[in-house]
Amino acid sequence: MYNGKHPFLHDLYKNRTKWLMLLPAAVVVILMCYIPMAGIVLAFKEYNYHDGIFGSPWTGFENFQYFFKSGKAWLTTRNTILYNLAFLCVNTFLQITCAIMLSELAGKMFKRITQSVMFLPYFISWVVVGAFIYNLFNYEFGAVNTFLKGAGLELVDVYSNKKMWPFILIAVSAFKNVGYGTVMYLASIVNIDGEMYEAADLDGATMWQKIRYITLPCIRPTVVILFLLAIGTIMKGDFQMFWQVTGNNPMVLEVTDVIDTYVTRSLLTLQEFGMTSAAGLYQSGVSFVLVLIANYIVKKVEPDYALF
Amino acid sequence: MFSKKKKIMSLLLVLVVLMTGLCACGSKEGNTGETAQTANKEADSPAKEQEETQPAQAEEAEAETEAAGPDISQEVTLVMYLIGDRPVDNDEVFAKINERLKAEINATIEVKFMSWSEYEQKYPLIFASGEDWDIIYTADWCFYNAQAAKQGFYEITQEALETYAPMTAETMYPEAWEQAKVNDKVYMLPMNYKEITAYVYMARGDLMDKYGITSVASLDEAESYMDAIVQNEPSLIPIDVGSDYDKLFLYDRMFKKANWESPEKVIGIGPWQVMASVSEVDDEVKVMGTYDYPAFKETIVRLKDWKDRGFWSKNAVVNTQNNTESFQAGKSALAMMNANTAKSVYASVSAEHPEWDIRVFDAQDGVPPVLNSYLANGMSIFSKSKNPERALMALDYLRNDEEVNSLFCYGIEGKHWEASGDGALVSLPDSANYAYDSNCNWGVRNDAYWRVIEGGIPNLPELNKVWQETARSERYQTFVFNDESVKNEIAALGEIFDTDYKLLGLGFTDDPEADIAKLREKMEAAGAQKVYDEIQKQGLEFLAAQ
Repeated sequence: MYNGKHPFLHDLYKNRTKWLMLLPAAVVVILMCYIPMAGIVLAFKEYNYHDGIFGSPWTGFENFQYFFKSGKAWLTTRNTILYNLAFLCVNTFLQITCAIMLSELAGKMFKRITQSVMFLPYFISWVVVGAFIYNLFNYEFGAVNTFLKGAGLELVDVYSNKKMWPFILIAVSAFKNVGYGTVMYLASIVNIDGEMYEAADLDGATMWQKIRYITLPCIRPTVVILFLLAIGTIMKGDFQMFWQVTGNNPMVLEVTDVIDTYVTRSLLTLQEFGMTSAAGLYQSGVSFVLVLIANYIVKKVEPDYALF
Repeated sequence: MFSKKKKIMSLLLVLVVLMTGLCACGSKEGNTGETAQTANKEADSPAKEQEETQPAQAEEAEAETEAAGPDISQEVTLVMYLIGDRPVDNDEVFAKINERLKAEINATIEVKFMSWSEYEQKYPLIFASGEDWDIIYTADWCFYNAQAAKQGFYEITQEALETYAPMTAETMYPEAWEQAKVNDKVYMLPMNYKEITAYVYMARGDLMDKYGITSVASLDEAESYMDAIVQNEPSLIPIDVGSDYDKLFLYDRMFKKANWESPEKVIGIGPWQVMASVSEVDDEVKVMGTYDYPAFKETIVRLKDWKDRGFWSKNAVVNTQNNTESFQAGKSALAMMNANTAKSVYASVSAEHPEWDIRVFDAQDGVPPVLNSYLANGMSIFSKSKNPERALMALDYLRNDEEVNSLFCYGIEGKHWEASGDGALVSLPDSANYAYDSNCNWGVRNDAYWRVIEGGIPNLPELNKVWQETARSERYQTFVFNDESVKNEIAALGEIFDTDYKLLGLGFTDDPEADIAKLREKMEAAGAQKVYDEIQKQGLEFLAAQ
């Protein structure tokens, strides 16, 4: 095989089409992810506008202190991880369920319309969703309380009730994301070889048995890969969602504050760029470790599906 | 043959993919700059890309400054940031100002506004955004110290002042110049004006008459008025506080009253986020957490009572509209604001809703109003301004040229106002579109050209008289705290201020005593004592230096 040329250059020539296809993605990642990474130094600097990021004086680990001092490090880390786990489980479950249901549906027209309607919320901005929530739950004029008032029931005060927010957040996350994931799972279900179903029909398998023994095992690789990719972002709270939907409400922060919202809030009120980058760096560090751990576990259990 | 065709097709396909990829990539790049400027959602990348390119330009600008004599051969447009909502006739007024500036210094000003509801967030961000701008409104309560310490402002030296702003150099009050010093350097041109800050209530006369309320000039009277509203007007919120701007308005009034009446005369000291207070009569400068004074608990208990009775919304903490805006929109029955804001609000509301018969009352409730330091209003130049010397020249005209100053402060003569004897003016109907002294012109106010308004709020002269007789400066008003050694603590305390303290200040608590204890515990854990000790140390030095 090896014919004396440099192996990499040879590969570059031989698979030039594939390399060319990789190029745009690589350019984007380098521009958007690797180059800005130099900004990490900000976490170790006492930033001022005049000297800029690289000229400002070094401070060592000073900037990391406040995050732990304010007692918020543990709380926000916990919230971020738990919310993302909940979103991951609930959304994946709903997405697979919807995908299977859609694939079992007969009417093509109906299927298409349902699929589009489910997909639609994905395009609604979080700002708008936040406005929905506010107009639903506003104590004095909100839709829910207006209805309860009309029905002669007791009013609910959602904005000061900590217990409700995890459910609200999980619900809006599902509202926005289920349609999107459903389409991905639907695509992998459509790719399953039709002959398997025909054979099952001949053997007299019921619909449930077909789902249990053909559909689910066949989409397992997709599930595992999507799950692994999601683990990488488990330390990243969906900033827009937490910020807009809760309206940055201090009453329920204990259950809604994630690292991203905390960092943004402190940046806006303190203008200490170094300190907030320190918190961001902490977040990335933990993310990185989590990805390594998740990948290690997958490698042990299912070596074929591991990312690296 | 077939395979060749296939090959060409696949190559074409790759090209298409590549093109779309590159296009998407290109537009994404363009967007990043903008999003970084406005949103800054990625916490660890506030405009880092832009920052890198800036120092070089800043240095160039500095080099230019050092060149002798004002060179105005090149025409420049200066971008000026002000706080508030854009007055309808702003462009018309600035067209006139620019006409003159163009003739005098070959420069024009473009004004940008950031609204009251968002300025706390937007103000620091525009410094880091990499946006090109020159002049900004600033004040001791509006980030002056914080931004000056981060080198956000261009330093104004005595020489620069004499070269580029000779009129200002001549007329500046020496004590104002002294007050503006941060680490011995001046970054602001403070107003040339002695100002009092006093608060007023604005109430609906029609509703007062309906429910037999004669006056809303104290907390107790406000309580009866709001009670009448809650009982009888379900569609109105009595007072719609809770936004960044007014979340602590009622708390402040109550706490100040309680302390003014006590012998200790407790007042705040140091950065507001650390909640430090000190007795004015104590020469030891013993600094304590505000929450440790008995008056604090009394205040919170009363606020809780008011909140429970529905005096403000149960959603007050997520309010983005301030109480004045709500009042103007007819959503609430009472508003609180400083007397200065009241002038323009009164003018516009009376014009829009004469049937409301709005009335203005003293909200000081016996507490003497504060005689402001000169730093309560001022103008600064951005440290990365490309034309700092021209900006200084423009400020010189805005402050000291009677025509330009009057345009900025009151609008166009003959359209928005007309002179009424010496040092007074009458507002004309068009002033609804450019109201008297309410266009964020406060930073250039100048006693030499100041005109008091005739008409407007009928009882204002009377209130002013009382305030002027009682106004006083607080003992630590000009005390500037150097936070160098306790930055981390202040950052941690700021977070507590923003959440727990804000909630208490709006009465959102089920058990005031327990929540105050919880606040104290958190404050102590975050290192409050260390900050208080530092404030005490610097406070003693401050007293010794006087």
